[in-house]
Amino acid sequence: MKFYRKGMLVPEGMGLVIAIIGLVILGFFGVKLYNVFVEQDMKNAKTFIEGLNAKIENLADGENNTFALRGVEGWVLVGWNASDKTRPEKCFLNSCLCLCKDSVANCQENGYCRAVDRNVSVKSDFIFTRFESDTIEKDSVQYNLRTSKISASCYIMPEKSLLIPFNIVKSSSLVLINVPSPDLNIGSPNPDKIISTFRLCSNYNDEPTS
Amino acid sequence: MVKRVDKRGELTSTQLAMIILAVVGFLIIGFALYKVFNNDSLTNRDLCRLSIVSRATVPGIAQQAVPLNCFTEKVCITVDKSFIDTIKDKFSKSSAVIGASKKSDCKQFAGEENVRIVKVSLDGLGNQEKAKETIQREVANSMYDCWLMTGQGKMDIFKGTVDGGVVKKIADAGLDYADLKVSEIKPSCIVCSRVAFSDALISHPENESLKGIDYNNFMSREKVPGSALTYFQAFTDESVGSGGAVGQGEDKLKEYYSKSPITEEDVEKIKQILIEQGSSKEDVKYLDLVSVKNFFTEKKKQAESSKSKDNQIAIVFTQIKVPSNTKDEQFWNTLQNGAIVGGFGMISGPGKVLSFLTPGAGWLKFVGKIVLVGATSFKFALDAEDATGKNQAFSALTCGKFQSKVSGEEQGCSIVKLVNWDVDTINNLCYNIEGNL
Repeated sequence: MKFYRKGMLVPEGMGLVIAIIGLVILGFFGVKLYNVFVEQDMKNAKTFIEGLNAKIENLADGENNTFALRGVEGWVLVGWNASDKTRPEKCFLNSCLCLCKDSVANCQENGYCRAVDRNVSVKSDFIFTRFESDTIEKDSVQYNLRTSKISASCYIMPEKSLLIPFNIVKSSSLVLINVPSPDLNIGSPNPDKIISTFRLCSNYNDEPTS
Repeated sequence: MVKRVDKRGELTSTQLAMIILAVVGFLIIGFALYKVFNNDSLTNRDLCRLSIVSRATVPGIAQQAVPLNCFTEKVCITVDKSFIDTIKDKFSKSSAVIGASKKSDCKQFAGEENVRIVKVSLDGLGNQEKAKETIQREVANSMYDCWLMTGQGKMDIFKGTVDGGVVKKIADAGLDYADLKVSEIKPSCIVCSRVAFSDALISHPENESLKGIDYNNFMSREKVPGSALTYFQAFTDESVGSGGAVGQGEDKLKEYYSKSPITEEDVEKIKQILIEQGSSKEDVKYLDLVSVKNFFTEKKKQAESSKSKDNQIAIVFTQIKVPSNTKDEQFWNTLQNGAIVGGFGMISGPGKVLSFLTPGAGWLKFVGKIVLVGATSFKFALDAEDATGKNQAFSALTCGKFQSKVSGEEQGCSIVKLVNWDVDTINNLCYNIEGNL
């Protein structure tokens, strides 16, 4: 092996240059790939809220229609009225329709909102069946099957968000969006997470069914 | 011997040339890639096809890292309005509020971009025939483009989509008739096109004339633009001849749709029709009165519910795969039957595919050769038509090993299917939708 008095070996220098070029190119494509996956969710959310808003605008007062739109997994659709003090600051003085990442609490930081020129409300409900424990004696626990109808003024997009039917009813003073949520049964994935997200929405109601 | 001593770190001319060549090479490749993926002259179809080819040819582990650059084509079919009606529309309240860019003749596409408007006239007999022709050709072209774009079913596009214990599930399927098989498959989809019919077209006083729309007939007689082959032949191969064999079979079967009661004699005739279509005697031996009755009952139900609620149809590409080491013949049967959703089978619930007929091992060869099956029941948004063959759109289908696979052979079925654009249909057909709707 030949050594030079100062600096590195010539072949090593050439290898270094090529390696740096290779790394830069690799890094470039790496970043591109990362963006594809990370930003795709955000892009989908933006596309969704814009599409829904346009469909609302397209309806005349007194009209209603159901539109099939592709959901964005785990995002929450919620409507805020102009009089609602808890609405995100990004709504300014308007009523607005927001799509928020994971929870309604994230609307300001991680959400997309669109102003609506009248009150807006999102309603969804589903049947929730689960076991509930009931201590009957000191060391004895009895489990009862409990079924209830859960409703709230928001809609949590399910894990497998393919097409979702959004029923929009538009009147002169209100835009009402009804969305059927999939029922939660024993064995459904993450029921606790879904319920805790629902609890954060206004008008949360858990009503036992017969 | 003279020993050459280099000065400090000096590059030889060869090394310098190599560095320059490497840098220039990287730049050229980078520039070429940039031009390919940012080329305005490429249509959405080209870009989609390019991304499909890219995905299909990379090694399995990196396959899902290649995004599909596919956009659903949106076609709005509406009536050609008179000049006065057009002016009236321009000044209508809703247009003024929404703005022309967001307003579409088809309310189904409200707020969506890149909608292509196709206008037809329904005034006069000549125009009505032309309108029918235009609509049929739009749909036929969309199906053909979709089939080409997705690699004619030869490309392995989606990641593995079959659950592990399928064979066990087949065995566990405790259903009444022995031939019914159930499997968990997770087909992925690309929605190639959505075709919507405007309110103006649906409510047009002359819309009755559109009841004569017959996609099967159109595709079996009309040639693909710029080709000597009919759509049927293009979907299959020239050896299929007119390509109408399956369609004719459907036609022959239709007389039994509304027949009541179905007799043992009818069952024998139905078996005969299936044999004429290519099934072997072995294939149809399990058919009995009960399974045939169930089949036609389901056919009627399908036809009842097949009216598009949204006056919108979609051309969907879907693909299901199985590992190549699956030996079980039953699995193949299930897969084939599953793929022929709507033909001799139906979808029931997400990912579940039921089939009433078990054509047997020979069926694979048949499907592989014909690659075309009569399929979903579809009505053109108009009421009160019987479930006849002419209202049934077909699917282009192929099964076999994917040619794009370099290693780790995979096999499966690919279908281009015409379906109603509604939540239940799409969610039942697809476990996952890729691309941009």
